[in-house]
Amino acid sequence: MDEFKFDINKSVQENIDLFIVLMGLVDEEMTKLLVGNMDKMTPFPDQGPQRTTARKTFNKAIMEGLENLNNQKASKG
Amino acid sequence: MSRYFISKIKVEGFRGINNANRPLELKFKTDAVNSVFATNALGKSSIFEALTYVIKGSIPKLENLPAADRGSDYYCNLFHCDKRSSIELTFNPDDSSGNVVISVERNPDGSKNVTSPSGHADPHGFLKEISSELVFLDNKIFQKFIEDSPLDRGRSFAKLLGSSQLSEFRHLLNTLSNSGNINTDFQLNVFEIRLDGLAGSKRAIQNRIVQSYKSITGSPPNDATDHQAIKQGVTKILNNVELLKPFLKVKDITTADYVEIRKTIKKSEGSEQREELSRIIKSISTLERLQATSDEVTEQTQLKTELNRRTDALRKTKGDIFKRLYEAAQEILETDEWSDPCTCPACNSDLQFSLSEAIEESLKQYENVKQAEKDIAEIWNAATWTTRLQSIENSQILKDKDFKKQYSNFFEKYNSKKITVDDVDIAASQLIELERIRTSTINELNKKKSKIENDLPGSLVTLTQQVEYADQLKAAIKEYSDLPSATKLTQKISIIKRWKEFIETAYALFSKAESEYVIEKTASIENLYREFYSKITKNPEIIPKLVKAEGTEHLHLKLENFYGLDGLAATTLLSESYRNAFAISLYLCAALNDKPKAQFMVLDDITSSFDAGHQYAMMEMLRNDIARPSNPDGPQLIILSHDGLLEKYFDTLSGTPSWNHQRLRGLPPKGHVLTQAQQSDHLRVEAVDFLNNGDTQHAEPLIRQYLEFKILEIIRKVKIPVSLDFSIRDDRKMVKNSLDAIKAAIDLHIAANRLILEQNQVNDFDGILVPAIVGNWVSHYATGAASSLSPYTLLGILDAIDKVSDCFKYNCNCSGTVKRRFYRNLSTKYCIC
Repeated sequence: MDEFKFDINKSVQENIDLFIVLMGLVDEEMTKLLVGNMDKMTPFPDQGPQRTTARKTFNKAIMEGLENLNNQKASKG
Repeated sequence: MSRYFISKIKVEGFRGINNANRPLELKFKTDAVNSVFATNALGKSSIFEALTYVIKGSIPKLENLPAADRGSDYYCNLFHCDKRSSIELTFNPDDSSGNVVISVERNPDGSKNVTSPSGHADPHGFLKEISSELVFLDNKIFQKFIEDSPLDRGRSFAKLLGSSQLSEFRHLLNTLSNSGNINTDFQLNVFEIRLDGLAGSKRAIQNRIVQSYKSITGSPPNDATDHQAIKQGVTKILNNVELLKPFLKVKDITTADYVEIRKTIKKSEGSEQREELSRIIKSISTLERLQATSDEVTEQTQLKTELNRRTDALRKTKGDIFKRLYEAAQEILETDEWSDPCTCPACNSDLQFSLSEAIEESLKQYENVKQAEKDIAEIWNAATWTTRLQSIENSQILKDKDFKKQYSNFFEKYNSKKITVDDVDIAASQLIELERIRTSTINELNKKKSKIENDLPGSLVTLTQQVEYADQLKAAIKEYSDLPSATKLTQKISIIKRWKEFIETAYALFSKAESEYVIEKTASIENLYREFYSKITKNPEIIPKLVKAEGTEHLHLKLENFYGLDGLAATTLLSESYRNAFAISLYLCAALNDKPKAQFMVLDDITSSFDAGHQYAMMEMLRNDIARPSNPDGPQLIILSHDGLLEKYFDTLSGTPSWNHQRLRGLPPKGHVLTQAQQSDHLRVEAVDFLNNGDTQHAEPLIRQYLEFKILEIIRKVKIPVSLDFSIRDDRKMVKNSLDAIKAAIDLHIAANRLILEQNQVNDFDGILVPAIVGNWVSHYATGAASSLSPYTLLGILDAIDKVSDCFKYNCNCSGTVKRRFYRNLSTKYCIC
């Protein structure tokens, strides 16, 4: 996994898609959370309060997602 | 995916182009280099801006003006009758999908309508799709690239390479994986403190259970966590005492009524000392329960760290009144009320910096204070030491001890957000002192307990002890069962840590891959930009090199070779033209490496710092190496220029399949701007209008221009040889000189028996039309005597001019319908028609 490289012959979006696939192998559930909430962070503000607000909104959504995962596991026993 | 090329632009009422009711129309060939020449102030930049406005949505030059200058007022042409702009672009795909037409209208109030007359479902999305950093290039961009700081240049270059999206993604992952951010947003520290406190409480209660059990039975339980077995064991022992049997017949030690048990013991054994022993045992137990259950020093340190953070953040603010000022200013700047971020809305001062950014930074400090206060509250609520301080101070057992209560004052300061690090230190010292008092009191009580135990009969002591310890055991078991489950907290912490590990891994992998990508990408274009640079400058003694600093975004412009020296800075040694050549080479290189491939590029006066030789080299490189059709994967190029020398180059290539040249004429910003093709038609229409109204005075200059245009058109289209003097001096292109040149060429071809013109065309030109035009009008016009000619005569002159042009055309049927087409030259046609 340390050998992961972007391919200069592929487009940036293709490379990002490859990265997402790789992260899915690392932790599928966490990758789904990351991808599913990415819209809250893009476009990523350069600086200032908007950036902090975007991060907090994103992390709040991630926290809800993590709690849902715990609840699903608890209900499955 | 289709590549789109621009095939047409129509502009009316935009910037310097008025053209009311008669839009300027430029047609571009999608498979050729397109050049547009215009002398200064003839609307060339307006075309560049019109293309920019449609594709990028705004014109940076106007958007960056100070608010007081109201840049938005200058989009529409100031002389247009409706003060309304309309621009229409037609894009042709490289496949069978249909043309896309996008129309942008700007209304007098500054609002904009983007539509697609061709029916594209998402015109905004289409424009976004075809836009890139490489579409619009001018000299300012290259100069800025050279003069930028290495960091800004690195960021610009990342955009060029299309890797800015990677850079942005890395920034995003960096922010998300920051430990401080995770602790703050997910309250990981707080949950860990709570879990630690819960574990400490469990341990402390478990100890009390073990101690009580041991005091009753004389030995510790086999399994301290088996509370059922403990209950049963103790109940069994107490059931052996006759006095206690009635109370435990149907109950166990956790359900027995200890008030009734004590009453019964008191009746049977009546002793003040026994009661005292009972009270002491309870007091010792109560004080022992007030011992620390978690790492209080760590809790205090965390609280002090957050207090220091709040103090630091507060220092960077200027109080509530300034906060209100910043918020009001931000509100103004975020609305359309004030569009210039570099001018103060209060006093109109030119600030030389962005007020929005400064205000954002100031408000960020207030946000930091708010966040620190939130974190302080979380740590306070999770802390056990403050609760212990309060409990010990309020303990009835210690009420006669010599200490001054401080918790209320401490809590009041916390509650009013005035608590300081010093207050925490004072409270911590108070807790140390109270802890000393608590342990010494326990020791004193134990001594008293021993004395009473010695004085009382053993059986009574044992019975009293057993009952008190059983009561404590009951309380401890209940407290234990009442504790919240640690399972949920543990699961929460566990999954937050899993996310933390995931996002840290994501950042580490991504940033490593991105860094390697940029270095590899930079290296991959090295040969190409050097080749381009060499083709422009023709100087083998200078070899440029891009150096990307590993682990940073900085990009340095270096020289691998400078007349035998190496590692020198390009920006300090190269001349302006060479520096620009370096930047141009990089941008063009990026365009060829663009994925998906760059579709079209609009270049505005990019050779203005070059001399004629370098201009020529540059244009040859664009034509042969960069642009379609020589490079099928290359972009369609649209080159705008005001350079007269360069136009000679354009003229030379114009008409060849790989080059399409147009020249702008007109009288902007009030009058019309037209291309050559549009202009002749426009001149004729206007002249006829005047003549139909009997206005010969205004018609004649237009007829003269129309005649000049049509004759020069013949020379250009049929490739009539002209003298050097004629070709480079506009003042030599007079009607008579032009007609003489045509006549000489015809005579030469007749003499060589190579003339393609039909005999009647030669006769008409030479014998009828030219004498009619020159004799009846040109000579009169030159002497100012033409005003005696009637409108009908002048209409006849216009007709004769058209017929002159027709003498050099033939019927072409190649497209299936007959069209009049200029001969290729005086000896051949374009086709076999």
